[in-house]
Amino acid sequence: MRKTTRLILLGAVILIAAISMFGCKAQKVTLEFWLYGGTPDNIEWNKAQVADWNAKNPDIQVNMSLQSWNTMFEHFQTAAATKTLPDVARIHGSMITQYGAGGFLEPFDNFSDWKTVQKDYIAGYLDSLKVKGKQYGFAQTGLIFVLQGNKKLFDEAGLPGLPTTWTQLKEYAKKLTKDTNQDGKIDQWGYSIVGANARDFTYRWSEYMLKAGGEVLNADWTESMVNDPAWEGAVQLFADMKKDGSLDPAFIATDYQGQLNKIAANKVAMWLEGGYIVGGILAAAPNFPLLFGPVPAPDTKLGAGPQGTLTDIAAVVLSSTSTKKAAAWKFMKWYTGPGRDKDYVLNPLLGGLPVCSASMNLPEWKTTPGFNAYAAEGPTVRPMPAHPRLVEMIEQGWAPPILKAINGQMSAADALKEAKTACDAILARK
Amino acid sequence: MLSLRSTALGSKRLRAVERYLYILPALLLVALIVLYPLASNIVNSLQTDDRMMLGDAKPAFVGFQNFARAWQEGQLQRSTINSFLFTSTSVAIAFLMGLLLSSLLNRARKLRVLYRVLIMLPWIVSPLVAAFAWRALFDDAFGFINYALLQLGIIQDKVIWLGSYSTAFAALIVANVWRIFPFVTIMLLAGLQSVPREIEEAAEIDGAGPFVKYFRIILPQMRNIILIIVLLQFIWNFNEFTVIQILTQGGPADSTIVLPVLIHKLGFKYFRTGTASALSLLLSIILLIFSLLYLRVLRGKRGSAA
Repeated sequence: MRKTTRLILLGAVILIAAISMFGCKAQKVTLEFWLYGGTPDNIEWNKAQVADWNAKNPDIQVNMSLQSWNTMFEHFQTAAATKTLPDVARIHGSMITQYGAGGFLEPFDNFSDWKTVQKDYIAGYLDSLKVKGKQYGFAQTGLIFVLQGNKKLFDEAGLPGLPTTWTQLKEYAKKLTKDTNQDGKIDQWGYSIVGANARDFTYRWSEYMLKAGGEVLNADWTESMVNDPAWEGAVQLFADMKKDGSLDPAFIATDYQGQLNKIAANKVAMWLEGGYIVGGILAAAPNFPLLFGPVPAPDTKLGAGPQGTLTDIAAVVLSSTSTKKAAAWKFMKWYTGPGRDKDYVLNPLLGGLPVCSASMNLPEWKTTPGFNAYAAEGPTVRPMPAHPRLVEMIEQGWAPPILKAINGQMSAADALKEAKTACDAILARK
Repeated sequence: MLSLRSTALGSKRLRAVERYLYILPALLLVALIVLYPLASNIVNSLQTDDRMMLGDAKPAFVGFQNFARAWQEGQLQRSTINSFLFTSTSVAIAFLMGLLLSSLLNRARKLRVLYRVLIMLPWIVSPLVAAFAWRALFDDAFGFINYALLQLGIIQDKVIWLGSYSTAFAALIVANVWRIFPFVTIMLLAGLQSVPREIEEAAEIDGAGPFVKYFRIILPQMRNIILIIVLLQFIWNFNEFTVIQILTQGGPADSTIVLPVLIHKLGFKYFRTGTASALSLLLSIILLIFSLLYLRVLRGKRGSAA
């Protein structure tokens, strides 16, 4: 062979080898995944899922980093502003509106298989993560807030089970409020609610308003409905319980962890929470005897809207600035799809509810703690309206006067008048 | 002669330029981390409030609308009053504690170093860690403060420290004073030790008792350092965010909200970057006034020293 030909052949071989090596290197992709919040059990479950994915998908590796729920707003916003968002993140569902509308999240409608994929998911959850008709998130888990109780305290008080009406709720709460060590001071309260944080309070109080037929906003989102009779009824319910001493007076300074501590220490008999609290209670007090029941309703419907409890969602989103969208899409479908959903739902410590249609019919799910309550509430459950100023309306609009009314500092009617003025001003702001 | 003069002028100019060249890297750094964010903040304060919702659209110039809105909504007034109350009360209490402790430390003969280290401990602890610890201490159900006060018979019932305006505000001040008094104490101690011994001796010879000596002789000698400490503490504590955010988040029902916490809420929770920028500009102006006062006092001190 001539020297020139040999050289050309050698060059071609080297070139092909280099391209092959580069090609192999280019195929391996690493996704950045930020997991915000989660109970310890939830975090461990997520770690296990990601490890499982990484073992089965060497070409798409996921680097999951845990982020604080408490600083989620600042952290995510700063990352969005500096274009340093991760490829995938799990955030609170209420953030979808701002970030979706702001163009920071990739709409799923851009993926060619979206029409097929969406059939796996329960429509209601998907709808609550839409902005202007475009889908911006998968629900990793559905949460339904139900009434929960301490069965031991109920048995001691001779009560048959959780109340189902507001009248029963007040009556039972009073019976469950006691001085257990006879030192002249009440140390067990019939009812407790998180009140230290306006948003946390709202997500544990508004269920009563919604159960009474209340609405948050009118149909076109131009006006708040906080002066609805359902709102006043729900505020008065809590004001009455505070007045008669059956609502833990420290509720206004109690945060989620404080509430958990009181529950585990048998200081409170009833509270309203999502299923995620189960793992925390059992970790603090193994064999804790939990009761679950639907949210009590007023004896007669008070508002004009449908009656149902609140649902809340942790959403899995894809950043619009990700350069690995195809890989991220593949991971997200697996991570939130029927396989993982089933695993999540059947873990009693996670307290999650199905977000995929297939999981709804699992026979094993019927043995999950609280199943009956979730099944009862499921058909009528509603999310908070995905308004971009919802958090502001909660914290600056209705929560402060409502908390004052419950604390006896003003009447329910005056509080809601103040709330309506504030909320409507927030809505009207250009 | 002319050429010598022009050479002298030329090298004078060159020396002036040379001086600026040496400080240019530092100036650029200051421009980057101080001037650019400040300019950006000013621009943001004059633009659309909800800019996060604009997507790709450019924010519009709205003039002083964000400032006017903040005033009309009422939060600005409430948070500013709370900031002044929180700052002046914390600084006053820390100052009085500092005066007392510095006097005691000044007299201490044995274990002086140990006392100083112990006093400095609160200042060394991370503010975030300290705030969480205080939150646990003030917990109504399981906190040590209620337990101790009940055991001592000072209270008959558990106090919900973080649940009402008056007790929540007091709790914030206690947690904050704990954090700031060590620095005040050490600075006052340094001031005490800088008072010439001869002046004290002269006062003793003239028959001045300990109280007269302290309040009429020693404290006036420390006037400038006291002013500097008070001004610095005012500036630092007016900006305080961690203690309030961790203990009360401005609650209950926004009753303990201060300017830095309000700015944080507006910017990061409500995405109202225009109003948040406007308020942070106002906060900067308030602090600038106190900073100028501080510089004036400092210049006065240097002048009298010269």
